[in-house]
Amino acid sequence: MILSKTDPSYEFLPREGNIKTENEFLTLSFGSLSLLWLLLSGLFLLVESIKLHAPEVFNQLSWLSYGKIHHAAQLSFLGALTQGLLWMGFSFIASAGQLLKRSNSLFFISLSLLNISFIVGIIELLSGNRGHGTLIFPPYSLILFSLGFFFLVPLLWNTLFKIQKLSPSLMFVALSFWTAPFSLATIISLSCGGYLQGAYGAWALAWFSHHFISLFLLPLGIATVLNLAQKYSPKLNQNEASLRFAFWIYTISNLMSSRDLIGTPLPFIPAWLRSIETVGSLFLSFSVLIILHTLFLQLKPLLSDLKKEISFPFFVFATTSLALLGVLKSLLAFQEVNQWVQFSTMTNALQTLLYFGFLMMIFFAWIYHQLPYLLERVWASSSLIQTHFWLSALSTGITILALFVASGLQTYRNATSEIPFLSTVIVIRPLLWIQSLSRVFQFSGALMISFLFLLLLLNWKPNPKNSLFYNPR
Amino acid sequence: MKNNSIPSFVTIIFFFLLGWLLLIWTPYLQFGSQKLHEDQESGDLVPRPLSGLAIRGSKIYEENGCATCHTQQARNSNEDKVQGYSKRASVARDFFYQPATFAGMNRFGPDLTNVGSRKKSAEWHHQHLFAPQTLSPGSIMPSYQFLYEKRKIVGQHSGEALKLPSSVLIEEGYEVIPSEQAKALVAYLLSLDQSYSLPESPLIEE
Repeated sequence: MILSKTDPSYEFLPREGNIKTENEFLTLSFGSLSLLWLLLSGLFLLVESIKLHAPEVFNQLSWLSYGKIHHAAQLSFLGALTQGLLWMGFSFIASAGQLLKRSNSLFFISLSLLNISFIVGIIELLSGNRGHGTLIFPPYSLILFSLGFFFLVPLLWNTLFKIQKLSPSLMFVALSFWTAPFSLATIISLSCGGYLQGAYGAWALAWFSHHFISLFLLPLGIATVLNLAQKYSPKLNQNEASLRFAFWIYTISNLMSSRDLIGTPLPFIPAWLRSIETVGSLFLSFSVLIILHTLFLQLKPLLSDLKKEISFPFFVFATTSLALLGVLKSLLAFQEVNQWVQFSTMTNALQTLLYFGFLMMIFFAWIYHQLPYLLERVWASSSLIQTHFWLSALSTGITILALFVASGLQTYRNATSEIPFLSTVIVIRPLLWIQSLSRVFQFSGALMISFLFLLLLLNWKPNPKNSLFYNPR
Repeated sequence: MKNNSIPSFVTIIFFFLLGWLLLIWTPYLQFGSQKLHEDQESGDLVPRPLSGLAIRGSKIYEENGCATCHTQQARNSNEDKVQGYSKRASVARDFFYQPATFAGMNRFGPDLTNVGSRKKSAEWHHQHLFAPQTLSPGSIMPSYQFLYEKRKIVGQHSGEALKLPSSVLIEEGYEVIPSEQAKALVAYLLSLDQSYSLPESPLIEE
C-alpha cells in the first residue's frame, strides 16, 4: 500500500460528494475536449509530415500549404495541451477542497470561448490570416482565447486565495493562473496598439512565447509532477522547503528573463538583453533540476512498489525528458554553444522533448493514475495502457534521436565551405521521415487513450480475473 | 496554519511588474529611439523603406508561413559566413521599416536576410516559387502554384509569362502568369537586402 486515505500528510485527498461531482464535470468538459483536440492534432500532424516530404502533394490548394498546415497542427495540439493542463490545474484546486464550479454559466462560456478560439485560429491560419510573425495564435483566436481565460480569472483567483496554505504543487498552479492574464493583456495591448513592428515586435513576441510556455504551460506540468509524486509517496511533504526554494528560483528567474526551455536567442537584440536571457536560462534549469533531484531521492526507496503502478512509466519518461531539457538548456544558455546549433533541428528536438516528452507524458500519467479514483471507475484494459506507453515512448524517443542526429549533421555540414546547403537538406531528409513515422505512432496512441477514456466514461468494467490493472490504494 | 497565498500573489505580481518594466518597457524605449543612418557612399538613408507592393508581399510571406523554414537574421557565425548569408550580422536597426519581423527558428531553407542582393532577378524568384525543384534539385520547398494563373494564349505571349524549362509540363497553348500576390511576394523578397553598413554592425570586407 503506497498511500492511505487516513494518512494525515496527504493533503489532496478527494472528499466525497461535491468534489466527485466537480471532477466528473471537469472530466466530461475539459478532459473530453482535450482528447478530442489530441485526435484532431494527430491528423493535422500527419498531413503536415506528408507535406514536408512530398511538397508536390495538393500543391494547388492554397489553404493546404506546408507553412499553413504546420501552424494549424501546432495550434490544434495546443488546444489539447492547454485544456488538458487546465483540467489538471482545476482538479488540484478542487481536490484541495475548493469548489470551482460555483457558476455553471461562467464555466460554460469560458470553455466555449476557449474551444471557439482554437477553431477560429485554425480557420484563420488555413485561410491566411496568420497575424504577427511568429505568434502561434492568429489575431482573433488570441482575443477569443484571452476572453475565455479572463472569464475564469475572478473565480480562479478567489478560489486560490481561499486556500490557507498553498502546497508546492498548488504554488505552481497559482503561478500559472496569476501571471497568464497579465501576459495575455500585455500582448493584446501591444498588438492592438500597433507596437509589434520591427525588431521590437520580434522581441515582444519572444517575451510572450516565453511567458506562455514557461509561466503558463510548464508550471501546470510541474504541478502535475509534484501532485503525482505526492500520491506515490506521501512523505514528499518532508522536502517542502527545497521544493519551495526551487519554486521561487523558477518564478523569479522566469519573470525576470525571456527565454523559455525551447526558445532560441534573437542575435540582433542588444547585448544586455542577451545576458539577462543567459542568466535566466541557467536559473530556470537549476530550479528544474532541484525539483527533480528532490523527487528522485524521495521516490527511490519506493521504486520496487512503483513498478507495479500503471502510470509510473509515463511519469518516469516525463521527468527524464524534463531533466534532459534542463541539462540541454543550461548548455544552450551560453551564446557560444547556442550559436552552433541555432536554427538547426535542435529546436524541433527541444520542442518534441517539452511537448511530447514532458507535458503530454505527464498528462497521460495523471489521467491513468487519477481518473479511476476521481470517477471511481476502472480502466478497461491495462495492456492497452501499456501499448499506449510504448507507442508514445517510441515515437517521442526516435523523433528526438533523429532530430539530434540531423542537428549534428546540419551544424557540421553548414559550417563547411565545400558542402552546399542543399546537399545537407538532402542528407537529413531520411531523418525527417522518422519523425513522420513517429506521428503515426502518436496518432495510434491518441486513438488508444481516447478509446480507453470513452470506455471509462461508459463505465465498462472488465472481468476482474483478467484485469492486470494495479491499484496502489 | 499560516496563509501563504496572499503574500505569494503579491511577490509574484511584484516580480512580474519588475520584469515587465525591464523586458517590455525598457526595450521599447531603446528600440523606439533608433534613427535612420546616412550611408557614407551613396548618401542615402538606410535601411531603405519598403515599397507598398513589398509591404503587401510581406503579408503574403506571413500568410504562407514562410518563416517556418526560413530565418531572416544573419549572425557573425562561421555558418553564416560560409553560406554567404551576409557580410555582417543583423542588428535591430535593420528591421526599422519591417511591418513584422520574421526572425524564424529553423533553416530547412536558407536564410533570407539578403536574398534580394543574392538573387536579384524577379524571373528567378517567380520560377523558384512556381517550380522550386527546377532551380534547386532535391529541395523540400513546396511549389506555390496557387499564386500563379494558367492562362490560354490569345495572340501573342504575355510579357509577364514565366519562362519555364521544358521539364515543367504546361498544356499546349497555355502560359503561366504571376498573380498580384506573386508579384507582391517577389517584390518583398527583392527588398530583403542588408548590404549597407551601419556603425553598430559594419560590413566585413573579404
